[in-house]
Amino acid sequence: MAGDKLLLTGNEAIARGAWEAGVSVATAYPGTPSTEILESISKYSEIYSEWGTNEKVAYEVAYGAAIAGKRAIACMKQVGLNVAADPFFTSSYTGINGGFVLISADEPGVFSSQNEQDNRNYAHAAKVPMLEPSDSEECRLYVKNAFEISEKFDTPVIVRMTTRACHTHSPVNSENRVEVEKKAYVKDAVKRSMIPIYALKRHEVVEKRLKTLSEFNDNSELNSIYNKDGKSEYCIITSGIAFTHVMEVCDNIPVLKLGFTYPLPVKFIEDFIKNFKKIIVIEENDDFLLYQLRFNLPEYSFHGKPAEYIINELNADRVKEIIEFITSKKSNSEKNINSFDISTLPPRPPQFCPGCPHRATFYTIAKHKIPVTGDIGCYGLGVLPPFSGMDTILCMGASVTMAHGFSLSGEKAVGIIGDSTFFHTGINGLINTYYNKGISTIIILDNSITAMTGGQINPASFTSNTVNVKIEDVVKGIGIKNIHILDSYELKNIDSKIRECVQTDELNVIIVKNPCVLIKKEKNEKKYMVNQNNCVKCKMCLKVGCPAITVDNGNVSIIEDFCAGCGVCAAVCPKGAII
Amino acid sequence: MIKNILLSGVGGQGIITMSKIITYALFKNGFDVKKSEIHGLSQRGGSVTSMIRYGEKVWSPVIPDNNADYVISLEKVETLRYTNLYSSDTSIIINNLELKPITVTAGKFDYPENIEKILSDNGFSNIHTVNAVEKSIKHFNSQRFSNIILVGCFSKLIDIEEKLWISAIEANIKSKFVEKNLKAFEIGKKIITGDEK
Repeated sequence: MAGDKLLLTGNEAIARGAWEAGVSVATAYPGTPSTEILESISKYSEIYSEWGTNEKVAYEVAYGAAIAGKRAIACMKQVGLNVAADPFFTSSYTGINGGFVLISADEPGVFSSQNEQDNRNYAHAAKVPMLEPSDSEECRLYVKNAFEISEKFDTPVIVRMTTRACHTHSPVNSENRVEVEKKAYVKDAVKRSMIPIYALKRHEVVEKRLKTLSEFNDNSELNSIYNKDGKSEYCIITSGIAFTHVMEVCDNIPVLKLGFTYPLPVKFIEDFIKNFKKIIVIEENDDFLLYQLRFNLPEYSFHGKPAEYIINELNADRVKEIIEFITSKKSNSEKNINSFDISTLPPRPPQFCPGCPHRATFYTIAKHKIPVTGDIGCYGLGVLPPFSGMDTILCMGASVTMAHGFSLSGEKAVGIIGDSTFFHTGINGLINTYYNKGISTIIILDNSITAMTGGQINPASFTSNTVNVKIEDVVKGIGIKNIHILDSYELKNIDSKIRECVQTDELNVIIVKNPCVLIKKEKNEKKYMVNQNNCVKCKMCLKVGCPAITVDNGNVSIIEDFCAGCGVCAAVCPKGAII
Repeated sequence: MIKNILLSGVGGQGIITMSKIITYALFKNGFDVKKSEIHGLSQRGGSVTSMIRYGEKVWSPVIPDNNADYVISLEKVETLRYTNLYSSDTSIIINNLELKPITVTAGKFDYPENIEKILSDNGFSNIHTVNAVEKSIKHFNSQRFSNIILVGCFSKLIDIEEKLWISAIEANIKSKFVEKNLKAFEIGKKIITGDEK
């Protein structure tokens, strides 16, 4: 009910804000830390939502809905915007009709990504306005503001999130949904069909719009000053989650918090900073604000963080260090340094779940001693010991294309890709390899779900609201002849098929199938155990990297509660001691 | 005054549920709260933490070094991994459970012995070790309720009304499991007061 105080994550609050803002269409491709936005939106019956097959697709679907007249939102993780960058850049030129907002969720600290890119740079590169919320209530409010700005200035708007904004629960107010009437769709090819002669004209519009936006931002309520009465010759400019760390450690330094971070409210900033001797800029990852400030206000002296703080996420302790470094003032609070050295502790890396259908493939792949190009998904864990089963992980779809590239340099390779990633961008690469008469072996691990992000559907899924697309039909449709479909738990078959395929000079596709254990409805009743009388303690079974297998005083045993009954450990036991 | 709670353990042990219940109770008690954790790849059997901060106004979602007031650790060695957040005043509840990471079963590392002694040798001596797994198996014939037993233990360390705890469990647990979880919560409380034998 409107008026209730809710406890929401930033992602849930974005969904709430989108609903309140009268959004009609929402799209996304799953990716940490953004996934739960669309999951939450899908619970509102007034909003049509769908998982796109990739971020470019998702962006264009939502954008199309906006051009046709309704409010629409597209959500993706930081690297997802690389995939959607093509429509993103040009949509800055072609503008909107119904409001259009892009949620870009970055990952300072790289908890579940392949890089630590700072997508604020995209706002500048594509000349699109950007808002940066610092808690869940701001997530809700900023999305609503973003739609207003989008429609007022005829532009897509980015709401830039980071992991700690996405995944932190904090209190949120609630308001009613405001139904927004569909805007009339009127043809306007000069504005929306970007042939060169029109594009140049639209670029003029974009440059003018940026200037107007900066002036508008001077009076925006999204920027505010904290610790106004603080007595200090320094002041701080900050944004997003970095702001919360700043407030944790500073109560006497005036702070300018920017909520609307691109284009900068130059005049508003100048009015604030002119009375201070030193201006400290605190921001996570790249020195984005710092460069923008130096460019727009060259006569002032801005101080940024030492270079090492560009890497990894900030926290209150690191912010304190940066401020102490810039002001050359050490605080009095002594750190309670404990002597305990955590590097002596056994690391606990993530592992494939007990019963995971990927396990047998990775157990066998490393034995073939050929280059293995990998991809993005749970199977990224196949890089780690005991498998050490993949040589490269670059981006979505690159397993297929890089394997082809490897063969062109005389290194015959195997590419490994999941079902969702295959439909995302693997499919393009496979067509490319086939039509160029390439030779490589592509293993498609089909568990019929986007697993790593918590089980979102994709074309390989079976649901009542969507149509299943059979991977083998797609591969066959391309024209590929050598298609092999295997059971993911049949370790020996997988092993011999890989051996057979890599010896040929052809393109081979091996589809290894079984649903993800986390979505499987019928649980396996069978529980394996070690017959200690037959066990010779060779520890071969430990090489399948199963969390259910443990060792006590040299004796191997299986934790019954964890065992999923897949039998891969039994298949590798040379003595038949696992039963 | 801000108070900080760190939950640590292994992916799959039910940390997120625990953390939701505790945060909900604090929220309903009128505190400003922030609860933060990392999702995604790390869930798959790796080390997992959740941070809860509460008080009149909470800014940063991340607990600063040496500032954890309470620690609830679902696994023994995980208690040692985040000692940078502890101080000599930190109250530490440890689930008496050792889950060996793959680096131990593979023979590359030793699982540390006598974790309580390591903690107190480093100045962290406010420790309650709880046999939550044993109690869960005894009462429910399953380990699954260990996490809520530990929430029950923790509830005795802070001043939150009983009815808020109950509504927090009801709001965050599937209705068919609520009854058993309320029982687990009671068992946890009794462990701390010495009434659970």
